[in-house]
Amino acid sequence: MRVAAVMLLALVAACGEEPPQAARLSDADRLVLGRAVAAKQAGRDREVAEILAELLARTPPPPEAQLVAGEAAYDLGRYAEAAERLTDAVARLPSYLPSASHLGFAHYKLGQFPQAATVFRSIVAVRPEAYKAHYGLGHVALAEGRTAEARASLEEALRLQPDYLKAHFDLGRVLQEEGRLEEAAGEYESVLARWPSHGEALFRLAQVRAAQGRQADADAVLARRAEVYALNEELGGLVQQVRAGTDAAETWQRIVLLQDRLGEDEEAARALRDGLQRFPADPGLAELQRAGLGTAEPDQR
Amino acid sequence: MSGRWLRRIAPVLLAACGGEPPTDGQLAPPAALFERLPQELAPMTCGRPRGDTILEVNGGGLALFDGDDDGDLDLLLVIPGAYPARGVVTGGSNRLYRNDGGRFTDVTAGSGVDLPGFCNGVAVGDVDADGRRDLFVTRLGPDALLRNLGDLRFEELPDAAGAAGDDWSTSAVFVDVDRDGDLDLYVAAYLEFDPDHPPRHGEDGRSCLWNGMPVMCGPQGLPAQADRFWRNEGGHFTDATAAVGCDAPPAYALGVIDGDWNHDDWPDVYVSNDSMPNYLYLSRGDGTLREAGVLGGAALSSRGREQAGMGIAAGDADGDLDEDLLVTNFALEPNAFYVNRGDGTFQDMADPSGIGGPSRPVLGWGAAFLDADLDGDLDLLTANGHVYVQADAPGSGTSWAQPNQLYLNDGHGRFATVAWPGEAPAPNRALATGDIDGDGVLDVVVAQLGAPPVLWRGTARGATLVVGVRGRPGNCDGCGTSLTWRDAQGARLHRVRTSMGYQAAGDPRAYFAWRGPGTLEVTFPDGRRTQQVVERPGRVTLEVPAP
Repeated sequence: MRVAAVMLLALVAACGEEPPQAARLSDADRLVLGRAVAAKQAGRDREVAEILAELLARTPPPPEAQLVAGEAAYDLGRYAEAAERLTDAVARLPSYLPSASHLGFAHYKLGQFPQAATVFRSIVAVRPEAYKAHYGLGHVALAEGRTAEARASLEEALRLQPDYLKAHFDLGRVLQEEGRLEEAAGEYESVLARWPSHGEALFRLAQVRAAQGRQADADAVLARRAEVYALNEELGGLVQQVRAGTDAAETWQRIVLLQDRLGEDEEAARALRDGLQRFPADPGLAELQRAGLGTAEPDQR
Repeated sequence: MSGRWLRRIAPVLLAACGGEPPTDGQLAPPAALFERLPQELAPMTCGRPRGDTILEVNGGGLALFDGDDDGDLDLLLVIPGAYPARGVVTGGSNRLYRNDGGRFTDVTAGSGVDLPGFCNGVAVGDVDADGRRDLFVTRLGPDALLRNLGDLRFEELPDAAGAAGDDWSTSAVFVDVDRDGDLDLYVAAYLEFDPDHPPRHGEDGRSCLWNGMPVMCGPQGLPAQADRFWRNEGGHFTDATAAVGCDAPPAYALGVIDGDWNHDDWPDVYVSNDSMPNYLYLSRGDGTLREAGVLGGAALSSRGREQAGMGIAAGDADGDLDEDLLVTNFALEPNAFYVNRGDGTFQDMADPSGIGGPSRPVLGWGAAFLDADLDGDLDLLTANGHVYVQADAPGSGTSWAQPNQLYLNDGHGRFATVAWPGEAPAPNRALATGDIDGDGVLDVVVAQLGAPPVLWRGTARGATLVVGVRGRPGNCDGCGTSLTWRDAQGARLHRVRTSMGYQAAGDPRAYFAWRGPGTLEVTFPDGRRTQQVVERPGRVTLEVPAP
């Protein structure tokens, strides 16, 4: 519970300021909120709304509860609910600006591009260093065909966070649109250097190589993409088993092996660690560990 | 400090969160463009009400076609019927309606269309070169070919004249790929499904979750089936899938349509695949095809992602005299709008065109390009409805019943949705367009899951030039003919086809908004060209010349 409380404090202090209405929460409310945050952090998004049910039923619900429930809804793909909750949360607690990025992307997912752009602009107005918001602006501009504007926003995102792969990928798309093929390829390759199974980057790189007349290279990239697709399909089924609680030790062994074949060392490491946590006595997972799989540290993408 | 932040940020946030009227590219309608035609039609039962297997969500198909050759469009409803579990009598559900002055009369009894089996879609074409339009009906299991005997009577040919197969077929298209004068057949197949043992969440280690909720299983995790290409050899079909080059890996195919996207006067074929890359089969100019979807830009989203391809519309949406492609997709995926670069390669312009945004909240099925407001450019109609009944759960961001969407074209390939009076959310599926009442304006029939289809009468005001083609025996509608209409304000393209992309067939004729006299340029299916001046609106019928 203490961990949850610490996480909640970190959440509410995300902008370095005390949220204006945080004091309204009772200790009991804070505990409930802490449980919800803990569930969210553990990836148990489905439980969040249940934990927060009583808080969310109030009129109005505490904005902190709306915030956590909104982010969980976003991660579950319930973008309309996410947009509604986060709009309410951010309007009443505007210091929670990091979450406004989720709000912007929820609007984007719903096809509400003007609303998304407005949210992202509001973020960079108060936090010019918010690279995700610059990326969001670039992403929306690219969707609407304003490539020059997209490039400026994406380059700013990358100036602030040079390793931000999503921005590299979108910048590659912009450069490809502009006919700057080799530069576009460079962006896609920078994505693939850190994320070898990035299917979209493989597709785009193949397109660029074909446009450059390098058909053999294009075919090789496409072959890799087809392999990645098949591996990801299988992986998706295994992850579903884990989420449904129908996983066995063999499920985790296979996940580790697939991640390794995808070149995802960090993901393989994460899977091995999680698998051993769930099935600590499984000889198969231990064998994979002895074989040297999963020795890398997880990274942040 | 917080108060200052609030003051600074409030205006922009309020603007984003309801302080401004919603834009979303939606326009008020300039006038009602469709009105609902009251008409009693049979419900399109597809398994059990709100059935929870993947077999029961695609719905049935329909065809607007001139079955008795009297010049108006009759209507066939392909109705899957009861869930085909062991011991359940299925089939006999299809319905045939004769067009009597714009009203449909049920003439099913004795017509021969009430086939056994779980029927899905339909393709229309003259298979046996007798000048009558025959029907190919896709089913779960062997497909059926109904030979037209005249007077809206049909007989089922044994083994579908060789093209029965044994898959779960969804959509099909008659297309003369080898240009020998008869219609070959491309059949799209979906996946392996055993009605007696439908896959269930939690069984056999299977996990089928959506938005965190258990839902019906599939298509992912179920074996995909391979499409088939059947070559017509004197009214009998032989499997030429590999010989012609339609042997891309099995995929969850739902839609198929013909076209000529690389402008070589040889037919091409496009296939929409659910959750897999779509297939673009371009002609090699010798009666064979090559798959060119991924590098050709017509297989994936603009980001390079597989989407859940459902229905397809083909048409010259941006007015540059080549046909573009629209593929409807799953909810929260934008529809794909593949704009033809002129050489059979494409770029997905869904978002820049204004189609992507409004299409995200809905799950699309049938689609059609048509000039709904008769302003000279092609607008877009999509039929929408979710597959999961769980879509009605609070916070899902979507719903099981959904409204159809009409996107009006600004003349430059940019679209905005318009409100559609009388349109209510429903589980919409396949659609077909055609001039049901003979007034020169396209009408629409939209199939619904478990309910009667809805007829929409086109009510746009303005004169039209309606161009039909009388083809040769074996291709009586002249499918594959390309029509270019040039008037003082520009040029427009129409390809003569019956396929509506998703389990449906429609009116092959062109409906050009009349803006003054012009020239009709024609390329017949065998590549021969002609042209004629047209000085008045009305109807023109072209005859495909003898070889």
